[in-house]
Amino acid sequence: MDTDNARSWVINASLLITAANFVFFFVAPAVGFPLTFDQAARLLEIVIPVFLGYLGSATHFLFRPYRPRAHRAPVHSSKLLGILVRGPVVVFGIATLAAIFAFGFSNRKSAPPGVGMGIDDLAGALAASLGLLAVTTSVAVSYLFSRESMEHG
Amino acid sequence: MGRPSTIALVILLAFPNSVFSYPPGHYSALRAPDLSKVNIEFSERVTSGDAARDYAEMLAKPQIGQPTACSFGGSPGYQCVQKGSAFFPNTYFLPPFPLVLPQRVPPERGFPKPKFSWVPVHEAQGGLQKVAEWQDLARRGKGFACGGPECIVIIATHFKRETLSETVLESCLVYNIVGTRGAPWDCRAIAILGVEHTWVYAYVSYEDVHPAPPVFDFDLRLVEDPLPPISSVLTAAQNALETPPLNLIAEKITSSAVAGNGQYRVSSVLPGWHELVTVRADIDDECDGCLGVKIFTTLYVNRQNTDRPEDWHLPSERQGQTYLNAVRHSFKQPLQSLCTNSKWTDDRTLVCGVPAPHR
Repeated sequence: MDTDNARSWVINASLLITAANFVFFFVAPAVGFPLTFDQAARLLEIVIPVFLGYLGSATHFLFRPYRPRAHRAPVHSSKLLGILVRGPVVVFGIATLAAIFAFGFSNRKSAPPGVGMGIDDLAGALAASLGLLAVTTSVAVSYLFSRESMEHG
Repeated sequence: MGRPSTIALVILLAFPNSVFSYPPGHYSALRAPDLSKVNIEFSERVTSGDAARDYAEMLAKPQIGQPTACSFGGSPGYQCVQKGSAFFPNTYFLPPFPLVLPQRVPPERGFPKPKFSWVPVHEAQGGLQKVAEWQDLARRGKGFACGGPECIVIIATHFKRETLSETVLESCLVYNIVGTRGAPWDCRAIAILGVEHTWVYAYVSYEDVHPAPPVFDFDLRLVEDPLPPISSVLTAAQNALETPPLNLIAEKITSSAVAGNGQYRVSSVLPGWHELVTVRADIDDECDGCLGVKIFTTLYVNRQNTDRPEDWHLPSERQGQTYLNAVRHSFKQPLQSLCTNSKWTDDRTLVCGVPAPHR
């Protein structure tokens, strides 16, 4: 994966995850998923800012007055870059889906009383998943969409 | 994003509860293994400031005459004094004040209406020892001082608001019916454990007045001549509690009352919610030529299937009304089955023996 691909991938993934989160947390309480609208909004507030931050960095990168030179440096390409950009987002997606499934399943109507996953537990699981992004993707984003990256890649 | 801000973000994300969970002024019940797992949202949010004002007001009442020896619950050794106006004086205890749970005031002659007030813990009889005992009961979450199926539970709630951090102990009534513990009701604050002072709610005075009638959610009236026996009305009420949509575990708790519990279950009245509910029906013959059925309902709800204290809370006004309507409708059919040719003349009155309409 080269840096251009990495940038595109981060932007696409952020847009997709942001849209998926908005749709899920707006719709879930209305269709019987065991969340109230207040709780859904709280979870959305935890997850969304990280991806909005990525999109903000990308937008700033694209529209800043400084333009890349006509003669561009060789594209920085690395297998590690691909793993580091894609991997954490994929892990975040899997962890989030697992947590939401566990929450919904343990709070279903036919579940034994008292075994449900609490809203704080779900918030904690989402936060832990985001923690992985914070130490990997966030750092990568800070370089991918920086001035130095523009000069070299 | 620089390194310090990344670290800060990680810390923020790793411990979100400290940031997102507790809005200012939030009450949450202490986790207790066998406690009634509820937020005491309906109880009076009393602080040590309120307690200090209450105490100052009591002290400010003008004293009439000299202290005399008096007793409490048959135990001598107390000092009392008359306070208030010369025409309507009330008897007030002097420190140490008797300390008793508001729901377990010992019976006295006449109709004394107990008056409680907040007092510093050292001015109450055995105050420090009682508070320690209540804290232990709150931690263990066990029912005690049971009278039939009705027990007391102590619930500790933390109150956090800016610089204020206090623990309030509340005593609540709860019904144990056929092995199920119902929703705590009639909760009263009995102690405030502040940073500087501890206050207890002590018995300070009484007035000789008739007790106020209990407050109920709604009542139904059965008009019939002759009136059916109370036992058959009780059976009909128990039937109402045990059949859908309420499906409660019910039993007769006195010769004129029946109560039912629904414990941490999916609500059939409020779709998608879990409920902890107690419904009590008291039969009386206070009205002329009719029997009254007074209904008391205590309901807590939880959107999730958890038993954590902080997840259980009071229903919204609309949910509460929906539940009361379901209870009301549940009672109508069983009561109607007690008589022939009955007719509901309004939402609460069932008249039996109405002549059948001519065809």
